[in-house]
Amino acid sequence: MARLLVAMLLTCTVAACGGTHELTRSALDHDFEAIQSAAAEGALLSHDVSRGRTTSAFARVHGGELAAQAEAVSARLESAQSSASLKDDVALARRLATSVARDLERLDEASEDEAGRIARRLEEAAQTADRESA
Amino acid sequence: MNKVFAIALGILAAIGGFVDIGDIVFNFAAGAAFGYELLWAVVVGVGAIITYAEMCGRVASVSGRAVFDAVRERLGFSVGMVTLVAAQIVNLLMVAAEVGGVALVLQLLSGLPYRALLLVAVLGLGLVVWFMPFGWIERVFGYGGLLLLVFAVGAIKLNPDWGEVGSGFVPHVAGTDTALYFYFVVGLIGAATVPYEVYFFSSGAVEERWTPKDLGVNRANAMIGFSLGGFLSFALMITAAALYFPRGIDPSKLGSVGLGAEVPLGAAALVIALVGILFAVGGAAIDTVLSGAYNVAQFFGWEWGKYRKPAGAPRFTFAWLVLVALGFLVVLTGIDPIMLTEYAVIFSVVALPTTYIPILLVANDRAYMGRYANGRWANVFGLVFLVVICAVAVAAIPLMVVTNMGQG
Repeated sequence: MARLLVAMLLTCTVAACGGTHELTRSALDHDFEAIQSAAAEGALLSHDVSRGRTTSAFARVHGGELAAQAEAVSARLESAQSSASLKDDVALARRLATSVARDLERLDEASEDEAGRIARRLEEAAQTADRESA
Repeated sequence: MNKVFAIALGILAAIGGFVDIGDIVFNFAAGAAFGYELLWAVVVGVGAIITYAEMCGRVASVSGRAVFDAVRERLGFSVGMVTLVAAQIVNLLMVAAEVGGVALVLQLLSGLPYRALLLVAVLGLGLVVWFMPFGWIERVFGYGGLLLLVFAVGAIKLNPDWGEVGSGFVPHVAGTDTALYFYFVVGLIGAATVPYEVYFFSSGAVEERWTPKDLGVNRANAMIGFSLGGFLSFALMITAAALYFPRGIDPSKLGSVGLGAEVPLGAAALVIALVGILFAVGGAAIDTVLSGAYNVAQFFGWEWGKYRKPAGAPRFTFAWLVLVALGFLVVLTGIDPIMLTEYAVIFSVVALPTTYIPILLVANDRAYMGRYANGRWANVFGLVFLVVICAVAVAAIPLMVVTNMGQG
C-alpha cells in the first residue's frame, strides 16, 4: 500500500513538473500554421522595407515580435518528443521556424535589396509551411 | 448651431469610446479568421449599444442622475452591488489592457522599450484625467480617433470582393470550425457592448447637464456616434479579410493592425493609423477609468464629476486614481495586453446581463421616468438585444474553453 502511494505521488509530481510531451500530428500542423502565419506576415513587412514604405521603428519592433513568435515555435518543437513517423516533419518545422526567426531579426538592419531577398525567402517558407500543414 | 455642436461632440465621444482595444483586436482577428463572414455580428453589437446607450442617456436627461445611481435607487442595494462588483472587475481588466495597448502603440511609433512606455502611458493617463476638462477630453480623443478612418481608405484600396462583403452582413454560420466562429460572434458583440460604454455615456450626459429637452441630442449621439464607430469596425474587419485571410495570417499583435494600413497605403498611413489607435485606445482608457470611478461614487452617494475640481470630489478622484494604479500593476506583471483584452472582453460578456437588465428595468419605470419611460419600439429592441446578450453571456465561457481562447 505504501509503495502504491509513493508511486502515485511520484507520478503526480512528474506530471505537475510538466515533463516532455508526445507531439501529435494535429499539434505539429498547428505549429506549421504558426510558422506560415509569421512568415507570410513577415514577407509583407519585408516587402515594405524593401520599398521604403515603412518606418524603421515599426520594422524593428514588429519584425522583432514576429521573430519571437517563430522562435517560440522552434523552442517548443525542440523540447517536444515525437514518434518516429513525425521526426522528419518535426525537424523540417524546426528548421523553417529558425530560419524565419533569423530572417526577421536581420530585417532591422537590412538594406532595401537585402529586405527584398528576405521577403522572397519568407514567402517560400510560408508556402512550405502551408504545404506541410495541409 | 449650439445643438449641432452638442451633437458633434457627442458623436466624437461615441467614436472615441466605442473603438477601444477590444474592438480593434476582435474585429481584426475575426476578419483574418473568417473573411467577411462576421460583419453581421458587428451590426448586432452596434444595434445593442445604440439601444441601451439611448436608454441610459434618456434616464440621465430625465432624472439628472446617471444610470448606476438610478439602478441603486430603484432596484436596491443588492442588485446595485452585484452590478457594481461585476462592472468593476471588468473595468480593471479593461484599464490594464488599454494602458498596455497605449504603451504598445507608443513602442511601435518610437521603438523605445515597452516597460518604460508603460510608465509614460499611465502618467499621461493620470495627467489628462486630472487636468483636462471633460469637454476637451471628448474633443481631443474623439477627433484623434477619427484618424482610424485611414483603415476605410485602405480597405477600399485593397479592392475587396464587394459581393462577398455584402453577403457578410447576412447572418449565417460559415467555415468548418463552428465553435471558433461563434467564439468570434461572442467576442464581437461583447467588444461592442462592454459595460463601461453605457455607464460613461450616461454619466457624460449628467456632466453635460442634459435635460429632457436634450433627448433629441441624446438619440442623435447614440445613433450616429455608435454607427460611425461600427463603420470603423467594418473597415478594420474588411482590411484584415482582404489582406490577411487569403494569406492565412493570424494577427496576434497590435503591429499586425498597423501593417494593415501600411501595406495598401504606405508609411504615412501607418503613422496615421498608429496615432489613430493611440487616441482611440487612450480615449477608451480614460472612459473606462472615469466609468469605474463614476460607478463607485454613484453607488455610495459620493460627490462625483469632472465638472467639479478634484478637491470638490475627493473620493471620486481617489477612486479613479486607485483604478489607474491597479491597472498599471496588472499590466506591469508582463501579461500580454492583447491576451488580457480577449479575457476582459469575454468576461465582460458574462457580466453583460447584470448591466443591461437593470438598465431596461429603470428605463421602463414610469414612477421614475414619467412620460419618458420606454415606448413600444425601445422595449422591442431592448428585449430582442437582451435575449442576444443573455445568449452570448451563457455561451462565452464554454466557447472560450472549447476554442482555447480562439486559438482553435
